Amino acid sequence: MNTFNYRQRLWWCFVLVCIAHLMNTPFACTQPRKPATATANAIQPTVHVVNFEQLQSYLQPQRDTLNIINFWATWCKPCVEELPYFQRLQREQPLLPTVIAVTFVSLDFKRALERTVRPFAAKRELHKHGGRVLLLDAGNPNAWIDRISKDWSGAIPATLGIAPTGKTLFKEASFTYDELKAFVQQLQTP
Amino acid sequence: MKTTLQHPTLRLLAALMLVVAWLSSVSAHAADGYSVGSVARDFSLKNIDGKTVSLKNYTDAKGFIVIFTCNHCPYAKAYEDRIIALHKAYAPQGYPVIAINPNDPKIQPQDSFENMIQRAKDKAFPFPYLFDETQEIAKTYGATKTPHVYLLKKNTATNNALEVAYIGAIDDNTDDASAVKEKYVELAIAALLKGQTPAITSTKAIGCSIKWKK
Repeated sequence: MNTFNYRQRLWWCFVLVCIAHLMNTPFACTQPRKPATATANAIQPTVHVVNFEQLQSYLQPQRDTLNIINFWATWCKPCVEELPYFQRLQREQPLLPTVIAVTFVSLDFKRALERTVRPFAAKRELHKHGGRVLLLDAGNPNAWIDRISKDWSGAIPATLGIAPTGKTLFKEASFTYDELKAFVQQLQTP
Repeated sequence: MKTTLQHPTLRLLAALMLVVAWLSSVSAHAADGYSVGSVARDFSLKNIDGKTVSLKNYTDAKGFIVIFTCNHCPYAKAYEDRIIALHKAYAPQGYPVIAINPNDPKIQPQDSFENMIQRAKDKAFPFPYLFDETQEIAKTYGATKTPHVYLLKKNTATNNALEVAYIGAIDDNTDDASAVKEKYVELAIAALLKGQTPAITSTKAIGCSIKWKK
């Protein structure tokens, strides 16, 4: 082993990395890695601006799908902290064959859409694993907060779950991953 | 049931469960906070000038526009100028603004007392900006977010008890002050000044969750 000097080790590392890359792609190891979002279906990170009526189409019970609607904003610290848990939930799909579909509803001001919300959604890869991102531009919140849930005071983060059965569950607080899993399991229970 | 409860240990257990159930119902009730018509408690909170502010010291006031707000929250910031305007318009008519920051600066460093002083200076707040360091007042009132308004009215018939007359949003448009249609707080105060009950006594708006101590 002592004959293996630093340069040799570095060389072997390089060769191994190249082999690893070649196994994944038909190109040489100088080929830059494509971003994960550009694979398979070439999902574009879109953020749709919706009014309340349009949002309601996302709130309907869907067969074989558990809808999770998360209300957040880019500058909201507890919201941003829990976003990866929703992404993980969608990646792990713990309730199969029932699919968990997450919709991230940004409550940022509409003028922040291009400057802040779109770049944030792209950077955080909110669309990865099938996440949908909306920006809600629905006018007077007093007219629609209760229609999401009577239990919602208006503070964010807040999350609404809709089961295929039509059962709904609402929480005005942030989740840990375990709490989120318990939330979807409770939603799944008839 | 009858036979099982005859065992003394089980009876003790049943009694304990009842006590626990009662205690949790009491605490759950307290967490709900005030609703319209509740009598609000006074407080002694530290102002940005280092002095302590209590509502009882405002002997000439007819009531108060208590607003839970903070430095960092974009929704709260969007309302700063409107809160200043509210105070300028209604303090002379007996309804001064009392702003309270309930956030734990350990969680949201921008909401520290030092930053409150700076923000008040930058915006030339004409009203007290108090720090609810223990979060006791926000909890008792039932505030959940910033901004969150509690309009209080002194009831002279009941020894100046501070009755909650309105809870909720300042108006119906956070994003654009020029597009506001209903100024909820102003409408409520106008009704109180006429000796009437406000037509709208509670509203909801999106706000930043209060950063509770962990």
